[in-house]
Amino acid sequence: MKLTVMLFLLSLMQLRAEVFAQRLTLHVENKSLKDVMKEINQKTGYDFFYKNSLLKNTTPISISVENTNLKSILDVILSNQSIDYKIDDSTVILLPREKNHEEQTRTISGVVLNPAGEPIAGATIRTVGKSEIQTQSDAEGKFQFTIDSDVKELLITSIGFKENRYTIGSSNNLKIQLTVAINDLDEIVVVGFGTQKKVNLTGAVSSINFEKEAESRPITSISNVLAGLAPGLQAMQGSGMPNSDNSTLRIRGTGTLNTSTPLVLVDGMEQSFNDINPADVESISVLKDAASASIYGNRAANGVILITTKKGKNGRMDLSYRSLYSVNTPSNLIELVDNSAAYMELMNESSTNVGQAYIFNEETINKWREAEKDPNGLSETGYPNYVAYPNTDWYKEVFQQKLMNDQTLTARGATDKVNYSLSGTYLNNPGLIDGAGMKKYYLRSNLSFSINDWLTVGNRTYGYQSDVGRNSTSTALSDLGFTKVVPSIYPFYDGKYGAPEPKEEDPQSHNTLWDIQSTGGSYTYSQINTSMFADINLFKDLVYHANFDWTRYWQEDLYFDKSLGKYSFSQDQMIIAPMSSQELSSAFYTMGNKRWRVEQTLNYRKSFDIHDIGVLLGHEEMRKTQYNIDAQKTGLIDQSITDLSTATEMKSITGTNTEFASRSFFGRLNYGYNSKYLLEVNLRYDGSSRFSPETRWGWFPSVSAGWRISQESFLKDVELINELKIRGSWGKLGNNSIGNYDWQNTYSKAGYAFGNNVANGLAMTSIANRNLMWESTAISNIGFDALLFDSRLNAIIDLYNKTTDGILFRPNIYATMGNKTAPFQNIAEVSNKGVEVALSWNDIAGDFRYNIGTNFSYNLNRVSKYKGLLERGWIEDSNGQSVYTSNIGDVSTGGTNRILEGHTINEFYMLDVYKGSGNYFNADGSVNINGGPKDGMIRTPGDMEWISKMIEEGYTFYPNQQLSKTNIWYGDYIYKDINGDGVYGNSGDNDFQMLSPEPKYNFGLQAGMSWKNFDFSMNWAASMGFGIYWYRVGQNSSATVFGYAIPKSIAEDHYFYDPENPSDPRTNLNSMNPRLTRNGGSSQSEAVSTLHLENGDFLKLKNVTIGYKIPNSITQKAKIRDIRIFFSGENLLNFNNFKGMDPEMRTGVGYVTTRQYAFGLNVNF
Amino acid sequence: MKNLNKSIVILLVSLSLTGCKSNLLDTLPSNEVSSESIWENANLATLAVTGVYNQLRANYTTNSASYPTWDLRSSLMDFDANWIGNLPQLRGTATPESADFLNYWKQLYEPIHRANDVIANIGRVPDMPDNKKSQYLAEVKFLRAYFYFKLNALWKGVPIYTEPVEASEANKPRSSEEDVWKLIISDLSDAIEESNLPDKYETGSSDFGRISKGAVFAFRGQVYLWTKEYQKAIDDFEKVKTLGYSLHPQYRALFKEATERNDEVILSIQFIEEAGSGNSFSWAFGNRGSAGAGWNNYIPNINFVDSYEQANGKAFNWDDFLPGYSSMTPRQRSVFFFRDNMTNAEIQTLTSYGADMTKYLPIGNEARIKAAYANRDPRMNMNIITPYSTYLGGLTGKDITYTLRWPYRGSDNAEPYDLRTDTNSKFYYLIRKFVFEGREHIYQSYSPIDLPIIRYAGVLLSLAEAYNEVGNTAESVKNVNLVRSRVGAQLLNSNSYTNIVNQNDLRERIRNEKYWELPFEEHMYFEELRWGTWKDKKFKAGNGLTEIWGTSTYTYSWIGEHNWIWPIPSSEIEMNRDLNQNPGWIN
Repeated sequence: MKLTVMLFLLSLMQLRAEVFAQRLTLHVENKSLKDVMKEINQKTGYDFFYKNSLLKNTTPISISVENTNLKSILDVILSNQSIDYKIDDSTVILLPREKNHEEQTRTISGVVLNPAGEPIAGATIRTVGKSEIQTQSDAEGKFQFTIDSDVKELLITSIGFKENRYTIGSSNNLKIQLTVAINDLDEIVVVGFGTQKKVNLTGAVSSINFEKEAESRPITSISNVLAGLAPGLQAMQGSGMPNSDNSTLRIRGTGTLNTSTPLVLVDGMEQSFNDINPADVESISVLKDAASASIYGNRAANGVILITTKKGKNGRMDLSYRSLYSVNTPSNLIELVDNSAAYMELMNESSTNVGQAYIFNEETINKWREAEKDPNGLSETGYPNYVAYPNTDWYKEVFQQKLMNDQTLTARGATDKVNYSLSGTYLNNPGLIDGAGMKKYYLRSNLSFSINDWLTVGNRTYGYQSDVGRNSTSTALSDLGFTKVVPSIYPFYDGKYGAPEPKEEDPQSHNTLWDIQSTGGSYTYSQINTSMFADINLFKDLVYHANFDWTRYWQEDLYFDKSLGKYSFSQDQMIIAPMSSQELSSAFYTMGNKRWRVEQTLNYRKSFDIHDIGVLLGHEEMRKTQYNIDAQKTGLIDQSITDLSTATEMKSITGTNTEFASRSFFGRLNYGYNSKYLLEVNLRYDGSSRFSPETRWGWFPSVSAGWRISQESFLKDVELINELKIRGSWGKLGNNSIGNYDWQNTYSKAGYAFGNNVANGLAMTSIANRNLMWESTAISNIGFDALLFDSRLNAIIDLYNKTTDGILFRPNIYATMGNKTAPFQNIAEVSNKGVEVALSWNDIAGDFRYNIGTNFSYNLNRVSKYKGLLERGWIEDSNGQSVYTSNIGDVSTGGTNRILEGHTINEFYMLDVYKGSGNYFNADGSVNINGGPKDGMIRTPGDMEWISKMIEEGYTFYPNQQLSKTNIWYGDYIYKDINGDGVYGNSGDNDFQMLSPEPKYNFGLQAGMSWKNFDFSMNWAASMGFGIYWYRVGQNSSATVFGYAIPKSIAEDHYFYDPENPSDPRTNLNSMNPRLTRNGGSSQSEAVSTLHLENGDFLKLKNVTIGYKIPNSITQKAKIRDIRIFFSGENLLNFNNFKGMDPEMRTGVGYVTTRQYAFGLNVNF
Repeated sequence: MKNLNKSIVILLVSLSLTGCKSNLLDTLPSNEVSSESIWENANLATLAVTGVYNQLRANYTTNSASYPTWDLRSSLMDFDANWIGNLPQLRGTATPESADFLNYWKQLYEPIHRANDVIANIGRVPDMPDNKKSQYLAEVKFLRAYFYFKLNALWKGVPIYTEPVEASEANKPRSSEEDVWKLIISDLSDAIEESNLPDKYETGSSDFGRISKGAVFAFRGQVYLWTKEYQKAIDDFEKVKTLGYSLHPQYRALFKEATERNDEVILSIQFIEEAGSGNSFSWAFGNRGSAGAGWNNYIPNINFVDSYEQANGKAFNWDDFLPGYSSMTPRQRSVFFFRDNMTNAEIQTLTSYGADMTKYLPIGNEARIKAAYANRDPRMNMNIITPYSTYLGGLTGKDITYTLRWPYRGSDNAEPYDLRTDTNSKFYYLIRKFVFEGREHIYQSYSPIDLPIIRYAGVLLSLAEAYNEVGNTAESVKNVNLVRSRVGAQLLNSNSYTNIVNQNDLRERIRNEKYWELPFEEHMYFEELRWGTWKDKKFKAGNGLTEIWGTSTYTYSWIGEHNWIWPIPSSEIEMNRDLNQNPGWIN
């Protein structure tokens, strides 16, 4: 491997050799030097570069030479002039001759070492003086260069080390030792279209050293690693399904009512987290305020995440290999009743509870009880009892421990002409379910070539392919596969899938394994992205940068039915026949997109004395077209032959095309005065095809300023303070995240048939709004940065106010308009105000190094403007009647999660459970409306008496209204009558719950230490102040459905009382869970209410990593630079009170998130 | 490399980057038509007319519990217990918030706006001949009337929109029930006046399925029954009889794709065997043996099945066939429905269930029960799968004759070929009408079998009803007998069982005739509302999903007289406070 890289690099170096072989013939007579140079230029193509003033005193030239090399000619013609020259590529630079070269220079060589005496590669060694020369140390830390002999001092810098001013003595062979920097003032942060020194930032930017995270963590998606790492960045993982396990990211809360996902740019190209190989990522910058993000104007309203991929490091050639194996286990599974006899009894209970006939015969139940006593005994049919009379735990059956494996090979390096980084990764993430895993292959090549001193060109190309098991169909895993299941089905035995065994059971209850296995095929996702770029140094400080990139993405789904029957082991026959091959379908779906984008910038940077000026002008445009084709046929010749062309009958073919384009112009001005006062202005002008020609252009300006107080004379000498800065910014950002054609009124397909033939038809199915325009987000930000106590304490505090107005949203339209999709309008305004604090402490004591950092953010989200405030209450109507009115329908949109002015986005809106005093009756014997059950459940005959009296008096209890087993009965909840209309739990009784699914508080903590060859780190993340409404039949409900699961939590603890038999052993009057009710019997406790609104607060130990570097003394023998072995655990601890799987999923069930135990090694050759 | 000229490089790079289109940002959808162009050409405008017809299918293209068939709300059938929660009006838990009401409010208004769009704009289509414009206008007015009819029948007075309206202006108050009837009659009368509307489409016509004058007369007649203008109804129905329609000789053939276009069909909802263009009846009504595997969520009600007379016109009574049947408990009498030759295990189970096993005949049990289903009105066995009758299934890829037996012994492709259902643990009747037989069709999600919404037989029965209401018994009986004779049922006034006693007797017989002739064709809920019999029939004590021998799975619950009229959906009242709620419903 190493050899290949070397050969490759050598071949690149060949490019340079021809330059020196230039020969020419020249005959001139008394010509000016200028003319002679012109002639040479014409004959050789060599440019001459000089200051005009230099030619003032030159004398005319005569020369006659044949086939002589350029250098000799130049020596002759310049010998009498006071001009010296040097050749750089194809440019001849003329310089005033000062001294004799040979005598005035010296060649210095040396080595740069770290405190442990090991070489530092890539350190910059720069002369201090009027003419600056610099070089870099090589892989052995060595450097050599020729400098003027009057240079007395060298400045050595290397990232991670304190800068060193080294005084040169008489020795020409130096040994320079650097000391470790705790916090690096020179840290460079990637910002939009460039980089910036951290100390010069005026916007709110969090940077994440991702390389360190990627080294050891078992990463399936980059987004999952970000939780807790940066203040203001919230990452919540909604699913553990391979290839769909991205976290949902929010920067500074949810800023809009439509897409709130931040823009993710990888080396400037818009991508999603799934597209990028974690091993390629060097750094991640999170642009949080308008000042830092507005250079991306049109898409930046939700914040921007800039990902920079790795490049070669100067002076080093690295070949490294990382191997990681991770044991993946479910983080937390729901427990279902897995004992069939118990299940059947519970189903019977829930049926008789609502006055229906019981379902399962005593005899059947006894059979299971018997079989259970001797699971390995043989049943009547010869199958073991545990197969013929099964007791299946479906979650455990389906979610299993799996081994993930991740291998990455990287080659990186740089010379002064070439910079390369090549990588390949193989990730095999089997997920937790058989046949539903993902294999992903990534390749990347980042190359750049400095052709000459003014031109650098390069290419970045990368691609991936993901092969995902077709079996992970979402219905199998998140829908019926875990709800419509019963324990009395054996999953798979002797080559056969089990069917429901009891005769009384719903024959359609699912066998989840069958669900998973009954379809075959694959999902393939592939992308290739390549970009060509050029940097041209127009003049000394002016650089023109051009970039063209092209992306092609394909999703290809192959699907075919498999013919699998279901077998009853207790009846010893195929209960459900396999589908006939005539019915089997085969389908091919492909979705693809093509995107090109160009970007060009002019970048000027110049320092005049104490003034630093930077100007950036740019242009960017892109076009994206997307298509899909879905073709389906049925009737396979045989179930093993699944190609579309072999299927016999056409079923359907559909396809669509859409397009999206944008064009933008932008500029930035930076000004710094004495490194003390910093100013930055951005302006962007954006056009989008998603708006009508009249409204499609928008301006997005921003301005920011910083004051480095620590540079002021009064603080400069305060030892305690290394850096102190105040930042302020304001700006506007845009958002156009609506459909591609929403501004155009359109008719879409609505066909019919006449005379048994298709008749095409059209109908207006959505209503358009031609006046749509950009929604805009204005963010103000004030920040403080401090570096104190010898740079050991770093503190960053930000306060922000982010307001989005003209939000593109579809408010409800009258139902009387029919089934049409409501038009978008620029209607709402949302504000997010918050504070972010990040504190970190780093220190070194000898071999011991440690750091601890914590960050905290609080975000207050409000819909600050929508359609007016909620007004509800009793008014007197024209007839003098007191009537209750509410304008909720006018001013608010949504159902259980609502949009209303003055409230959080999607604040929960639902019924409150009734809470009474339990006194039932007033002193005069009349019923006390506030005297009902204390916790809202009808538990006792007293409660029952109270509610029947209430109903007698004309009060109504929604939704079930009547007192009976099938409607409201013992063990049912009733709801609060908040509007006082005497109806308990009707629509007017819904209320806002001061809680939404978005956390108000996010918290992260990172700690790490290293001692000698050991390193340790951990990462905690927490989110608080959010709710999860979770209620699902079969998972946490007391309502049961025939053929559906019953959760263990309910089975073990639910209300039971039979007034006809109060001594029934099942009696349980104290449970908070309602009585079991078979669906179709009672739904009183199923109303959407606070009963099922849970607190989502959680604290997680996201990661622990322990590493050990094998001593160099050992590795050197194997000619290996270093080897590190590590253990890394993900999701190790989870503290919460949520009853579902994982509060991060923000729903109770689904494809469970994983807990991972990873082991691996990093090898650097 | 030596010749590299900086300015040329820059020029080349920037040229290559800026050579892009000036109209980059102008994109147009390729799957939709913009509203500007639709009324500018006849082709597109014609498609917009079809877009109104499209809504006739709206209920039927998916097997969705959100839009159960209308007949499910009638006393004809019951919903499988797992899904009953979706029908709050039957459960007694309906409130104006129930999704049911909102779903239909939206679904029924949608085509009205589509029709208004055509009515307002078709006049300005430049290249469409005037006769086409007039014909389309008449068709669309019929459709508008058809949907207003449903709204008015359910809500009794709804807001009237007859012109295109902006989304922000769809906030009118309700019009009175009378005004909505007036609008319906006026739209239908306009269509009748239209000379470009043909009287009837021939069965081979490529336009079969479009509105004809026959459909308009028949429908207006039906509306007059609602407004109790019986003579007007008679006039319209009699008009239909002059337009060339006739009864098809074979009742079953009306519901087969090959013969579904015939002279009896005046208007049918057109379905074809293509994704999204067929109905889901075979899926919803069918059983597990049906090709594609039906779900039998919809189960014929036992009172309805029992109402089918004996072949000689005598009312059916179990005791005539199984002495003592009605005095036994349902569990006891389940014994009559058991299969021959039960195993000991089966006998043991059913004994513990409570069956009166003394009545069990190991051989002959099946023959005994089959006798009760033989010699009945022929339409019963054409519409219903009864115990021990056979059904030609197609699940396994080939035609298999299954038999509905109890208790089920199961396998789809092995003896004894018991008919498997989704309700195997219970014994219910199953539906035969609209359900695939053998491999005639295999896609349960798009059955091509049309749903006749106006059928000549139905017109004759409505005509009979109108004649009876005005006291013309002879004409009334004549029309009923036309329908009865087609299937070979005992004619009225032909023996002691069929002698008409009085107007009430004939009224009852005509109503029953509609149940027997038109079940599962989506008429009976509306008829029960019109007749005022819905409460008595559907909410009769103990009625609900019931096993054949009478054990109840669940029963219905009546919440009060306000249940007769649907509530305005509460979310719509919250938005438009000018909408008054129907009495008895609390928002």
